[in-house]
Amino acid sequence: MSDERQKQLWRAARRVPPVQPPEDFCADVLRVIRQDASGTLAARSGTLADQISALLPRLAAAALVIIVAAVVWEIFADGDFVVQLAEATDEWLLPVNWL
Amino acid sequence: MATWTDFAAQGAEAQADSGLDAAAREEIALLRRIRDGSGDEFAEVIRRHKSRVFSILSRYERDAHLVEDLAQETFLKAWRALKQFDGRAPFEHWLSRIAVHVAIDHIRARRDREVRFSDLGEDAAEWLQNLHPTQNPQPHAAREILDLAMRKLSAEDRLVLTMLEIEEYSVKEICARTGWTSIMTRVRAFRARAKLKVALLELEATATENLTRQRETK
Repeated sequence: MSDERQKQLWRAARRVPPVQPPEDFCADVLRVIRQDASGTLAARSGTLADQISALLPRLAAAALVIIVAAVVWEIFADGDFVVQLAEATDEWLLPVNWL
Repeated sequence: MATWTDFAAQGAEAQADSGLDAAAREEIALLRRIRDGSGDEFAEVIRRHKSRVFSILSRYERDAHLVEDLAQETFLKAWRALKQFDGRAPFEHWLSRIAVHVAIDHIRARRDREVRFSDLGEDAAEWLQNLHPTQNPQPHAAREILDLAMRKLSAEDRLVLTMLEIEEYSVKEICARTGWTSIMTRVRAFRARAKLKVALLELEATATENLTRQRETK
């Protein structure tokens, strides 16, 4: 195709009128935006899995605090913490007559 | 990154300093109110800019329903990204850039890469057959031919040609709307023109073959 014919094509294509927005376009977009906003809020509240995932770091932190407290107790407090804990477990959690 | 308050204050001041009209300052204030929670005022933004957005998107998609969907997507993206608008450029440029990116994504997602002569209407086919060499093509026929030929081009190639030839933007304006460098734009335009020329030649050859076959049949 010659350059002149290509130019003819472009010139003609420029004259194609653009699509006109429909009357209710604003309302439609606002509706979509509201749906999007409410969808975002729902996503924020999250599924059960999301909530568990959010809790896991707290559970991990709580476990770490207990471990550190146990180690500190073991080092600085009188008596053997592990032995005391084993006794308490034997007496209260796994009594002989319970088995 | 500048905060919204920064943008509103600095942008308004900068625009006032640079002597921009009251309408631009009023728009900054409007956008600030929307950001501060007056979401319903976004309707005013849509009302002001919808024609421009439809005009941009119509260059890349002929189906009116799809253009409307793309325009909705453009405004939704603008709404979501409103915090990122820093007020240094006019809002219309920022919104146009979003529309252009929506158009690029749309072209990329389209699957009709195959160029079939049978997709052309009668006017377009006749013009390609060159039965009346002096006759200019009808606007819709020209658009059909170019759309079909550009199916072989990448989204970026199609974008640069449409901006140069249909929207008649300068290279500088294309850079502003796409984020490309000047050299990248020029190189891409040069290569895209070459690819389009090959595609149009192939279409023309197919049209001539069809015409010869029709005459032989008669």
